[in-house]
Amino acid sequence: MSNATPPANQTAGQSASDITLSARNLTRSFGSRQVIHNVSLEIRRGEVLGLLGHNGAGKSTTLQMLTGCLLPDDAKNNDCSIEICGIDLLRHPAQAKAHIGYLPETPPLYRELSVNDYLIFAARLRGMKPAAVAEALDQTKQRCGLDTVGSKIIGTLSKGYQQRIGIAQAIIHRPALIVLDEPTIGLDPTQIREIRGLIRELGDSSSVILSTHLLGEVESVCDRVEIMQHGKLIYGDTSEHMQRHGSVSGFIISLRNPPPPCELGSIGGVTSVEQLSSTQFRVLHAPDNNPSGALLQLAAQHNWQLEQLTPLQATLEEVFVKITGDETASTEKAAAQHSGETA
Amino acid sequence: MIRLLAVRELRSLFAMPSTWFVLAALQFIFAWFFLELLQVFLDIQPQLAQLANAPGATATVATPLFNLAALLLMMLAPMFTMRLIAEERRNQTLALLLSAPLANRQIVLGKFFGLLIFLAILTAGVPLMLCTLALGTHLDFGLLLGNMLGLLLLTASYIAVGLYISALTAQPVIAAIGALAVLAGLWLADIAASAENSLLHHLSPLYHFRNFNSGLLDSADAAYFVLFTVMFLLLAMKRLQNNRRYG
Repeated sequence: MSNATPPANQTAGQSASDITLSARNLTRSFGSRQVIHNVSLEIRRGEVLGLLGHNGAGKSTTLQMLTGCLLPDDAKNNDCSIEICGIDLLRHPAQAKAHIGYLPETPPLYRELSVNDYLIFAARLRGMKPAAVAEALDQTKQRCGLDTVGSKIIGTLSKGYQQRIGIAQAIIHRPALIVLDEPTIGLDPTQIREIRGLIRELGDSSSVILSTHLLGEVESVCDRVEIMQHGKLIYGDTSEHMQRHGSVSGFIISLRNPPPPCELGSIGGVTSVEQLSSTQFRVLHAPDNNPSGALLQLAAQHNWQLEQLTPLQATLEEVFVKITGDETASTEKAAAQHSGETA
Repeated sequence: MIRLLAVRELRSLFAMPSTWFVLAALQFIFAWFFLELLQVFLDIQPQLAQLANAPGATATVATPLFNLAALLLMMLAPMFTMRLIAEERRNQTLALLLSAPLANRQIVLGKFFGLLIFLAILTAGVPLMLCTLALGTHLDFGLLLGNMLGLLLLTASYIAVGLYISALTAQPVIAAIGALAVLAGLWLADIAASAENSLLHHLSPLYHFRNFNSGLLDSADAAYFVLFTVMFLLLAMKRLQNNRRYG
């Protein structure tokens, strides 16, 4: 890595402002069970990274290590390091942590405090000057939609509000790196949309890492995605590329007056047609040759009475299978694929 | 930072109704005892007057009252220390402190001082009641101050034990029972040990408080309390560090 030996302060300063998080070779075991295997991550300012994986894949553990709640195994021997804005988290935890905002899986709320008191405490705890807190409080409450509940006791508020307070405490001190562990869990659809909008907005000024097991969440908010399985990062790319991996090229089509399936199969680009019911067909096609236009034209010509045409949405399962299957089949990957198919 | 954590601790305590209930009930018990002791003193005052070097009002009223406060604190302190870390762990709020730019030392000391201030407020009624005696008689302020200092040191040692045990578990109830068991165990070992110079006496905080209680300021007792408190606070810090290491 280029910033391992900075020749001058200038270089170090530049890389520090650009890369907000650089973690190398994180390993962690609980007892004799190793749950994280050599995970390395890097995030630039203004990037939203999605950490995608099943429950139990090691997402939360990784995030805990990135925020200093959990130490990686034997930092010295394994040549592992975590740098936040160029500051070594393991050697200078206090300085490095001032740049982090962290929302754990369960929002860390003192239920007996009022929202204002709690957020002021959170801001001061991260080393904000008392004079700056009032303004940050107003701004954060506005961003998270907490204007009306400032003086309410946290314990009396609904789960949706509590989750938003959790996000508010993570961003109130304007950290360079925001770590959100399943930020939209337990929220209703409107709230999820609001929170995703907020995360996108946060991604403009800071770096955001969020963990999720929802494929849609990654597609809608993340610039980049890292997929985690069994404690390893098995795939990392921009989320657009991943969508290409993820989307199965095909659609489900409903025709009220259907032709025989072989007629559908003869349209250019269609690779297979499967009849699901008397009116529904699953049509698969080559990824670079979408026949839906031709199909619609034919449907209009022959009066097939098109009712519905839905592109197939891949599940996380299918993405896993695809990604692990695309790579050369080592024994581990075969095992991963197997577990993906059976689940 | 330590002050910020201590203030947060106090804020949370005073936001709970049970705190106010305990505060009120304790003042009632202290006042009742105070009045009873005062009554006894007034009853035996004529006889005391005949003695050559008779104990004054401070010795007859203040000493047993402080002794009672010390015993009550032994049972009350675990009820408050149990929340300190065990509850943060159970409510998952510990992550907020662990991910904040704080040293373990600051977390432990913040909680320690927060509760020390609270328990000082809780027992402040005792010296205040005794001060009202100054209206009618001459008070031995030296004895009073010695007792207050002793009680403060004793409270600090109770909190340190409770804080450490609270750091060991995620269940506040277990933390309370554990701390109570340790404190009561030390106390019982002290009163049960028959040999005058038994080591068991010297292990017990209440044994060392007795000198303060009778107005004897021994630097060895003060040193005991300081060492006892510091040791358990260091253990609590160590435990928090292990929390990060072992999860």
